[in-house]
Amino acid sequence: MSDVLAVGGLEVRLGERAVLAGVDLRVPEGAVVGLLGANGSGKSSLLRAVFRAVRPDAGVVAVDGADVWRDLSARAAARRTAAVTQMPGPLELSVREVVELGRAPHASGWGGLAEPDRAAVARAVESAGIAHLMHRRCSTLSGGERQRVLLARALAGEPRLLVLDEPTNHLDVAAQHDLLGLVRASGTSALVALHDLDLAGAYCDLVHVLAGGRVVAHGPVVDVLTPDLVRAVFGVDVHVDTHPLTGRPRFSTAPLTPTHQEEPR
Amino acid sequence: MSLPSRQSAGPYLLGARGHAALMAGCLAGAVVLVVLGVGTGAVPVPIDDVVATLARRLLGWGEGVDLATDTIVWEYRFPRTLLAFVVGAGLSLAGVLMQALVRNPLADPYILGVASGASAAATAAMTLGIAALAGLGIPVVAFAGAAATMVLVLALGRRHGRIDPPRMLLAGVAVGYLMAAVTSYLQLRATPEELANVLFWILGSLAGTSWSDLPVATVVVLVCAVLALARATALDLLSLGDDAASSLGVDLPRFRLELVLVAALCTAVVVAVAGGIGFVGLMIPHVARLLVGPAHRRVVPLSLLLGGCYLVLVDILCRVVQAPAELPVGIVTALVGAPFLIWLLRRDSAEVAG
Repeated sequence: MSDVLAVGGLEVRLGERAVLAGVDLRVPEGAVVGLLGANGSGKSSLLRAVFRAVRPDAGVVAVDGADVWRDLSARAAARRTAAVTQMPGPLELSVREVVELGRAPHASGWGGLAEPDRAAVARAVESAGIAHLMHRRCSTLSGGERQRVLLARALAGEPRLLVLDEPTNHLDVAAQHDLLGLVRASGTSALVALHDLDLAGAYCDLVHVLAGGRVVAHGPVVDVLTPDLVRAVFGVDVHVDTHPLTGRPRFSTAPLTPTHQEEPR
Repeated sequence: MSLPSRQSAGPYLLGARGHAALMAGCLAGAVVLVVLGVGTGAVPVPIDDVVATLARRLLGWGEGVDLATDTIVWEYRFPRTLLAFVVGAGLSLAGVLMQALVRNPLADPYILGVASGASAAATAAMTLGIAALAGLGIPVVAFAGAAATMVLVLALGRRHGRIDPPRMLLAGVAVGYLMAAVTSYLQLRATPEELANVLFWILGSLAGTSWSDLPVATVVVLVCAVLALARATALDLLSLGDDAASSLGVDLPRFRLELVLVAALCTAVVVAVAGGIGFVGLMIPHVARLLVGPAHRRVVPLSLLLGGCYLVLVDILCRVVQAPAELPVGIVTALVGAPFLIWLLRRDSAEVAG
């Protein structure tokens, strides 16, 4: 199986501090790969290096074998990788305009959309189920609607790789499942930063766990998220069993108990 | 699946058809305002004579009218009115670009301190009596002051070699205050007569415009407008946030530098010929966005037209209100513009609420 994304030896420094200290990570074709880790573990920096917002100090980010920082222009890289990022506050653009901006890496500088662009936008709108929102201003959307619009914007670019930075933050439970379900249904290879272990268990084929700017574990969810690892990385106790409804792994977390804290690792 | 067409009711005050009508109206309005502007002044010229003179001069049609009218129309009023349009368009364009760059609706062309630098240099030329400065002409001196300020703010507003909008904003404000202090000090030392000249220049005026003021400002504003239109999509992407813009192929450090240079250059040439006309660059982009939404492929052309028309109108008012004396343009832009902007903002929020 070929890898859509291959990250090797990635280092990112902010001043003196190493935010990423040699990260290796792969996203196989068609897989949804979760990126887990506590706040400040380097998840966002890794994703930003992948979608070309932070220039790494060392290492390689390759999408379909091409180094996005050395072999590809910003636009060429943007044609391969699309990101679902946080919105910077109220946005008065209409939903249609935002989704159409997802074609920007493909369209000419004068902003005209050709027929293939329109077709791609229409498919993305249908996949994300937002046809009824097209004429709304983004500032009037609910959190769940907004994330669907951002997903549609990403899908409109027909990327080889989707990158999502904590896309379920601030969403209600239904919207969280809804959004990650749409990501899976799109069939696009994806790298998703998540906080919620259950969501990772339910929607990710593989996970990578980051701590202190390094990957400390990776593989299938059940193999990686063992009670020991969760305790060491997230600082909580966890009981893992099988979800009675979905058959996926279920994580019941609790604050660290003193006995566990004193156990030698 | 059916997608609603672009023509159906959109989220903005004006849909596609309204937008087209507005652009056509602005173009027609610009012509009417220019003709009115040429006719207005201490010596009123009837519309017929304005049209006849311009027809002869521009198109070689007809006989024109008497020499005195021809001189007033062609040598004084027409270049002045055209310059008003160019200045209004340029300030509005710079306002659109600065608001996009710092993603702040309060930004205007002057937040880079460019106008303060121009004012300080112009004031020095008018009050220090240095023949070398005065000999260059006020526009050249003012542009030099603006350019020097721009370089200083750009140098201070960088972090790790890249433009950092918040830092640049602070640098612009700080350098602006510094230049304002210099200007104030020079004003204190000035004679009453010099002071009146200085104040008039700082508040902005188009009095005394000649054809020689037009070419540079017109060409620069036109080039900046074409550049802005060519980058309309990138300007929209910037409003989605830094990460989104990067992920969609915008080379942010380079694009920011481009934006600053274009906006500052546009501001500098305009301020050099017309002084520090305030409020236009803040207000017009808001009016344009309220009418047609924030997409720059619509906001940029509409702002150019609205800004141009608005300043021609204001320049007419400046000559009418206290005739035969003239008011500085900068006073009237705010006196007329501020209530209008407040009304429009209230109206827009009422519609959203309703």
